[in-house]
Amino acid sequence: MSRKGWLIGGAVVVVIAVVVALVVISASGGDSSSDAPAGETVGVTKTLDLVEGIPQAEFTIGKAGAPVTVREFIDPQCPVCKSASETTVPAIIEGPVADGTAKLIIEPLTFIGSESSTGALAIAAAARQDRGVTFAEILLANQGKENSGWVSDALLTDIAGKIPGIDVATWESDRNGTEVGDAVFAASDRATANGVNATPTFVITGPGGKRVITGASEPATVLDAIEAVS
Amino acid sequence: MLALLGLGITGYLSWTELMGDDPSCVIGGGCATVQNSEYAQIFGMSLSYLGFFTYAFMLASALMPGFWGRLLGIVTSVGGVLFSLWLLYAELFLIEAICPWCMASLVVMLLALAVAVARIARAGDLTS
Repeated sequence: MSRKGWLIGGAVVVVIAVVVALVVISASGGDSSSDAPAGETVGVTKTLDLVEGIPQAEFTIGKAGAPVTVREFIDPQCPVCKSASETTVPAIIEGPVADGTAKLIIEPLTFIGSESSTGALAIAAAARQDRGVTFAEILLANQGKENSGWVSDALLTDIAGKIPGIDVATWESDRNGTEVGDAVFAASDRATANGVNATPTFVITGPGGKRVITGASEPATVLDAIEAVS
Repeated sequence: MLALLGLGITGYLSWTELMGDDPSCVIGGGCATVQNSEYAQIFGMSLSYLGFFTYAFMLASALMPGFWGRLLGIVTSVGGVLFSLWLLYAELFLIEAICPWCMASLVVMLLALAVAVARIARAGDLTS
């Protein structure tokens, strides 16, 4: 082979080595499977601690008379909503919701797939026993890959059974009722009315006006918006 | 031409990365699962930037006459194809979601590799 040929061969070998190194680095930083060991429901204690002592009604957490309303439009299968439930939502609940400035309303949408509907209806059934927010946050904590079968009856029933204040038999019966479907449709109607085209979207209304924040924003962004309209 | 096409694809991805809103799941549009995954970043930098620079070097190789241009062309296209194949594997088996723009870039890279090999063969670099 010619000198040029050896040079080309050597350069290609170097490039292959560099790419392999980059792939190893990239692979080591990647996601593994869901945080939960198979079959184990996570996030229950953390969520129950978060909402403890704060009044809930249907899909709402916080005092009914709070001047600011924060509507969070989610899809149970939205990975960005899961991220928001780990950072932004706790900041909202621990801050303005806990001190009475705001109330948070979860609005479950169902656009990602059929499992989104299953999850949303389960949230709505829990909301009929005033545990909609608690159920939604625990469900998000256990989120799996989209439309992979993760929204199972076993998971949903386990979550319902672990939330104090939920009668599982009533919850199970409500899941199949028309009221929960109506509630989920109503959430979709409110999304349309507010021009929501992505999740999570926070629609924040108060005496000072209205703010709409879409996507996985920093908690401070949402908290500043709450303060701005209060 | 291929380099320009690749620059267009990765330039668009890089621009949306720089200028785009916070990640979200768009109704009717998906969750951009691939772009938002940790596999789409290296050293904290989006892979779309890496692809953009690779295509920039590829364009430079096309404009550079002679052996060094052909060498740069084969190096960038081999690296681009290998990394694109890794990303394809990650999409199919790890992330379990497909990025159409990434697939388009892979096709462009494969074609660019074929052109780079043809340039070297035509010039007889391996034997002369």
